[in-house]
Amino acid sequence: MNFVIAHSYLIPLLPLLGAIVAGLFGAKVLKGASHWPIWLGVGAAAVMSLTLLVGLLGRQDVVLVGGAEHAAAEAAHAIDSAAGFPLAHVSHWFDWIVAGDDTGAKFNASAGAFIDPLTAVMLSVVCGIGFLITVFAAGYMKGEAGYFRFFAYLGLFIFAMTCLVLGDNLVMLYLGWEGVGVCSYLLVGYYYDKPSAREAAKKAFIVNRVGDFGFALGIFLVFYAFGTISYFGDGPGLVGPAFHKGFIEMALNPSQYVPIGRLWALEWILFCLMLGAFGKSAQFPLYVWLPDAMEGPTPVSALIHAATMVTAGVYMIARLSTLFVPHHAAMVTIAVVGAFTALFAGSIALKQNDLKKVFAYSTVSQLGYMFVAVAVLNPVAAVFHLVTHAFFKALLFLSSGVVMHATGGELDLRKMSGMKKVLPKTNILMLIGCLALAGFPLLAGFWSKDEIVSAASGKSTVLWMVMLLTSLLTAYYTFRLYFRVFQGPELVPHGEHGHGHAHDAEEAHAHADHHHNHEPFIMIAPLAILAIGALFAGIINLPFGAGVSAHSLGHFLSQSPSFAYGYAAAEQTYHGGQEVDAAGFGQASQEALSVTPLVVGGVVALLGIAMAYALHLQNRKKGDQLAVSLAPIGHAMERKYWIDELFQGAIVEPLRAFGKVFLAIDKYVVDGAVAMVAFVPQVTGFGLKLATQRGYLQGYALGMLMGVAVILLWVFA
Amino acid sequence: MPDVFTKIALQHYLVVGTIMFGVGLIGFMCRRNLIIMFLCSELMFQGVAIHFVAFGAYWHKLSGQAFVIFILALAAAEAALALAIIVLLFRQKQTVDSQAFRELRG
Amino acid sequence: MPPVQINSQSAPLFLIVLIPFLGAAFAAMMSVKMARLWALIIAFCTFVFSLLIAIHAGDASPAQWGMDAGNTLSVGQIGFSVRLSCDGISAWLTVLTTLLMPLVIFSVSAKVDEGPNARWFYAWMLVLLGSLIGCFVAGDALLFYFFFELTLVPCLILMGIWGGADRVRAATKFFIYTFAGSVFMLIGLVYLGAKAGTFEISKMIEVAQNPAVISSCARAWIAASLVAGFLVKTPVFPLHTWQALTYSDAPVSLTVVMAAIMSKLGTYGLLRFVLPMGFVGAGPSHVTNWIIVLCLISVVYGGLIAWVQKDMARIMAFSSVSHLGVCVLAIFASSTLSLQGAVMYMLAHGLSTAALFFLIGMIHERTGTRDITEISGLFKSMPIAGTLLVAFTMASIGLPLTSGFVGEFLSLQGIISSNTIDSAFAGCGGHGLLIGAIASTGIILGAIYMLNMVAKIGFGPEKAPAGAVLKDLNGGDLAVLAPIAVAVLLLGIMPTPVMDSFKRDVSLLKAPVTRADVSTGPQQSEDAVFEAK
Repeated sequence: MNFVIAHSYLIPLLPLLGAIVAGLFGAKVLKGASHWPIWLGVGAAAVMSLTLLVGLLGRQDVVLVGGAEHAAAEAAHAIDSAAGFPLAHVSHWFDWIVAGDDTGAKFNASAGAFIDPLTAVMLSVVCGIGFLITVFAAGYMKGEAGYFRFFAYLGLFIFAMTCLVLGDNLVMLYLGWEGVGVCSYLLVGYYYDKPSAREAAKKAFIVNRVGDFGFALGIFLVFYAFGTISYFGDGPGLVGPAFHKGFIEMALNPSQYVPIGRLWALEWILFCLMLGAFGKSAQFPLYVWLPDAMEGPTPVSALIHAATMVTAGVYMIARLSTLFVPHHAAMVTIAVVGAFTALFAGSIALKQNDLKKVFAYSTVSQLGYMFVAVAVLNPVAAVFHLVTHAFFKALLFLSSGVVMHATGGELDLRKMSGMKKVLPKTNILMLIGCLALAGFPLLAGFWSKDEIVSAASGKSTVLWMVMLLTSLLTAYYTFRLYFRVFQGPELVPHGEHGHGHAHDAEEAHAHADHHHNHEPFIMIAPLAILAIGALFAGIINLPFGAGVSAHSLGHFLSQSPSFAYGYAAAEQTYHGGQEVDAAGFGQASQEALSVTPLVVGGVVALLGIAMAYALHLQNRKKGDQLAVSLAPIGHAMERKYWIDELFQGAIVEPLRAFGKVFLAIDKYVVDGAVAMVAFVPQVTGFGLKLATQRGYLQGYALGMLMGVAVILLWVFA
Repeated sequence: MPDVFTKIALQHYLVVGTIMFGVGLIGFMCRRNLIIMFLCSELMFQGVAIHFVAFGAYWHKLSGQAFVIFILALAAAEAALALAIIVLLFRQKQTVDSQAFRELRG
Repeated sequence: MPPVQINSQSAPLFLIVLIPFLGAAFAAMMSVKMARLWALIIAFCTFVFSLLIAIHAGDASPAQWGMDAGNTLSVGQIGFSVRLSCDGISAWLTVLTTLLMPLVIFSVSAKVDEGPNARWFYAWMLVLLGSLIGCFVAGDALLFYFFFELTLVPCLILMGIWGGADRVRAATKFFIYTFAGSVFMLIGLVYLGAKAGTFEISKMIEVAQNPAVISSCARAWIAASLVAGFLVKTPVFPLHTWQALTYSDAPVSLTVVMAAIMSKLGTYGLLRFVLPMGFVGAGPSHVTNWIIVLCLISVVYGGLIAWVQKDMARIMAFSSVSHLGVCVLAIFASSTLSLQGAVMYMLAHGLSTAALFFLIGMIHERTGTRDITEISGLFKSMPIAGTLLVAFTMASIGLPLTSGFVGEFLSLQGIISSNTIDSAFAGCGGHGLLIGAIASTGIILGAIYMLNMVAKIGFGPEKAPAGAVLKDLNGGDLAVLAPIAVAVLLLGIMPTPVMDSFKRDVSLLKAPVTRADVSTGPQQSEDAVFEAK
């Protein structure tokens, strides 16, 4: 593990090298073997990440109690205790951007890593699941034109994503943030000759940029207020003039560090950063890009648009919870937006007929859960759900990829049925994924979602009801899809176009393959691993048990300075009142197991599944009849409540109209004024010419004479 | 008899020069024949030249004469050019009336 | 007249200015092929020289003017002297110029060579190179003005002879517009020089800062005259209307030079003259307010117009208006941070704009059009061009790890944390965030119009006008773009050494806080805010 900490730069660097090799030599040299550099690069990064995770886990036993005590000390004396974070390491790679005066606030965006339990968990998810997906993609993308390009982008993506979670300052986070945005753009636009893919890619990038705009403003304001953009400076908890402090530490006691005239910025920072988080993590109203982004190849949807990139916003808020916690308005906003998005996206998912679109809206909805978790002061639950969600959502997307592979790109769930005979293995895998997503008792999603729902119940009944309702919807739409596609009478479509795009040569080849094996080992093996995760990932943070098994993720994360300081900030804000649940920050190890929320959650999930069973498997006619009778609502859901049209009509078109008006103004008013300025001398000259330049030599001579006379008069008279 | 009729003084030269200049000026204004107009301008030139020489003699300075030599040289060069231009103009319109060439005003 | 003194330190400066002019004289006498090769060699020599100068600029003597060539030629009482000097800012802008110039000459299309008088093309290019370098290293205000105007002559000729369909109108408009702007500048400079008794820039600055010599009324007028000249060149709304026509009708090689380098003369002038003289930037003064407003309009206005344009060259023209608005704003934010950002922005914008114009030229050459509605799906047959187009687009819109990010991010950071900007508008603070937020909309708008262009021409089903030859980039094209790509990445990954080399110089350029406007009283420098805590 010490090797990993000492050489943490290798984690982003190796996938980057892989991407460079694949990009430069893929077209001519490597061709069909272009996945190898990426496998090696991402694989090595995954090994390093897991080594780090295991290493830190091993070390935490020593100080299991320390974290909580330390946090209590923090809360008591603001922050004058000695470093109490043996699991946190700052490693400096090189000076990236250093600017500004030496005397005052120096803008120091060093390239460096901040390694703590949160980083380790995120890294393991990113690299681990990333590696599984690159393996799957080698099978799925086989024979595609631009095979090397796909893998080069994947490598770049892992590079950017690891920078995002590793960075020790906001600019590194921004680097990853923008980097994953670009990779997402490139990968969504992978089938660039398809107009829909082109538009989706553009939309994804631009909507994300709106978020990035907010994020960038947030960073500017952080530097404006704190004079640094480093999370923890030279290290969390270090005291003394020799050490640089990070802004997260300062945020615990802002009046001591922020110039008086700049305290106003603190609240603005949160809303700006929030905009960034909502953009990247597809929350209302900036979620619109995510469903469209399903134009990309399915492994991309699984990796970027389900498991990793879209969770960056949650990661950011969890990382910076110390800043967020003291500001009630910000927390309420996050809660409201998260809950609304969860319910809203869940309801849209009810009526989507495209497999990937259902999962896309489901992702938006689940991300809403994570935001609610952060907002109700339970970031541990957010990270927990992030991890389990990464497993089962990647599993679901990849399974639909297998379906797509087998049906030649068909994704419409109305056109298929009873696929379990054709795809027996996928059937099981998909079932596991669906159960986990629906929150079926004892599966991964059950535990993590339940933790969020019960945390929400402690804060507000409305929030709790919304979360429960969303759980019901989730279970229903998930199993609507499952029952429609895999159960019932067999109906296997044979699409004319492979993967929804035309590549005739490969098409024939691919079809030939299909008849032999729809479920090649290279695609099923990663799915199996993900399925194990979807089944058992709940173990990492069970709400009961003794010692390590109970809340073990919470304990681990409590060793992260971000969580410890966040808890301290919460304690400070609410003065140890009822509102702060210490377990939310992983700080409390003893807690009575409350069974009621678990039971309620489980019942709701089962209810949803039962409804789906009744309407979509047992009696599909009845389901269809119900849909007809609820047509107006269904139609609104199907059209996604016309939000895209609203955006187009209320924002895009007016802006474009402004552009056109400005263009006209530019042409006629601004340039017209210039032309006017040029016109005045021209007209004057022309008039004078007519008046004076008449061509009579005598006239000119007379003029001269008069001129001389006038001058003489002037001088002598 | 006042001095002015017995002794030739500076004033006499100046009067002659001024009269020559005036004649030239009037001629330039009143005549439309380009050659005459050119001659008139020469007349004005020489009128000024007489002033120069007279003042030069009066002040016992050579600069006046030096200027005149310059003027003469210039006038010679200019005469060559001007007459050539007039010949060319005549070829265009078979006339040397200045009014005929009004379009040259641009 | 004192004898010409060239000490060993200043020799490179004189050489780097003289070589292109001498080279031009020879190029005019050569055959076309030789002239091209010759121009390339000369331009490359200046590049090597400028790199040597830049590397030493950072560690020169601590005086303001890193390398002062001394008073070598004075003319009478006016105080005009041929004085060259160079600090880190000049040095890196010279490097930008001399890096791009060989590439421009190398990329000149074969059509020019086949036409008449092609050797003059190269001769004038070298004259342009010499006068651009002269601008950046002039140590005397009149000499600066001389070179500043001299750049117009080769532009006029190159555009008027080798330009596109509307070349005469474009050339005339460009010349008269920018010339008119610089006449205002000349008035300001001459007035100031007369007051100061010298045109040596560093001495003029000292005099200008002194309220006893320059009254506050005169100060405003001088500021306005200088700003007018420089903003036309940059250009900033509403002085930008020469640009779109010029960029679309100049020959590609000239467009690259104008967009990438000549526009930096404006920002360089603001940095070198207007800022340190203390005319603007300290305290609430009307000129600052006006500039802030114009820059903000430029950002939004340029961005939105770029979005609805169809001609790629015009898109780039309006994107320049949008980008350089931020750059000018950062200059007037006037802190070490923002100024470092602004200089980086100038370098980055030069690089990415040059590359994009080169690419646009290459696409134009192959398809015969620059209209984004007429071409689509080029990536299929031109994958390398497509990849590079996306890459340089990303550099242009400020993706981290490219030079564009460093410049844009630091500029915006500087604007938001600047006291000058914050306290503009009647002295009450709190506008920093609003102004910074408007300036930051460039982040969104840039993505919109650039990706719109890339998506239209690169993505989608393949479409091109009849007669288009969709060949991918060849080795020559790559040789032009590769050095720029390397520079973009180097500046994006390791900007700190470069920024350090002009850190001292920009901190000396900062507007003098206490002496500029006695009425507003001393103001706390923002760099001192945290020190005080």
